[in-house]
Amino acid sequence: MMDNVGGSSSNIAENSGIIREQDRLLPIANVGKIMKQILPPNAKISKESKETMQECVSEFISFVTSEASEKCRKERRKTVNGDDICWALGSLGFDDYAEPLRRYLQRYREQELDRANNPPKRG
Amino acid sequence: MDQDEQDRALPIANVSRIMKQILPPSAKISKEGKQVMQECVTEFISFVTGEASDKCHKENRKTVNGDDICWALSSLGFDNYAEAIGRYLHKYRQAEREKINHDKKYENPHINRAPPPPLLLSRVTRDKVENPPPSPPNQSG
Repeated sequence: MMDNVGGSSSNIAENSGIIREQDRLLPIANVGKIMKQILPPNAKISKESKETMQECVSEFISFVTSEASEKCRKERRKTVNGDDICWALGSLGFDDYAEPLRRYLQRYREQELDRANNPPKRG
Repeated sequence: MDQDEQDRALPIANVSRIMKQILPPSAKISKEGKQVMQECVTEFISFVTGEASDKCHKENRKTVNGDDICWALSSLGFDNYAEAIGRYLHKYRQAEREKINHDKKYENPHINRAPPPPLLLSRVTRDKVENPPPSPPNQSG
């Protein structure tokens, strides 16, 4: 699918450009898989439901990332990190998400340290 | 790829791409920033789907549909999401009907439905967040 529409002379702003659906959303198979994990074994999920969740989740990512980005801008930092995401969740009222994710971050960093101290054997 | 990463299920490249679309061009995202978002989104899907599933169970239905997702969002306090998703569903169903009519007219099953326009909830909701959403589900096990 063409990303640019119209004549070359018209300067389409980046934000108003067409974003392909496959770039705008998370893959429907993965979304459906996660939905299934929480449902009882005999439950089914309509295609419409999966697509609804796809839209919702992409929006959620944008929402949280936008808040984190604003914090980075104010602090004149270029890189959004894990703490910024946790802070954004708290800032937007998702406090109960922020706490488990901080614990996740701590375990993640410990795991990274282990990996650095014990590099996997090659060959 | 280790088992822990496989269990997360959502591809980090796709999550990262969506994050980048809302960031200024010069911004960067750390690897840990992407992974935290990956975890967060997986939890969000489970949270909303669990609520929708409860409703289906009470009504003795087996199939979770789009309306159930909308209802779950509203039930969990994500009212602004529910409104936007409701509008999305309306357009989705219109597009599906047009597709059916078009396919009947030309008998061409390969014509792709044009995707509905993306939501612009981020710009609206960020100014309206007043009531915090309720707790995510308790982690079992």
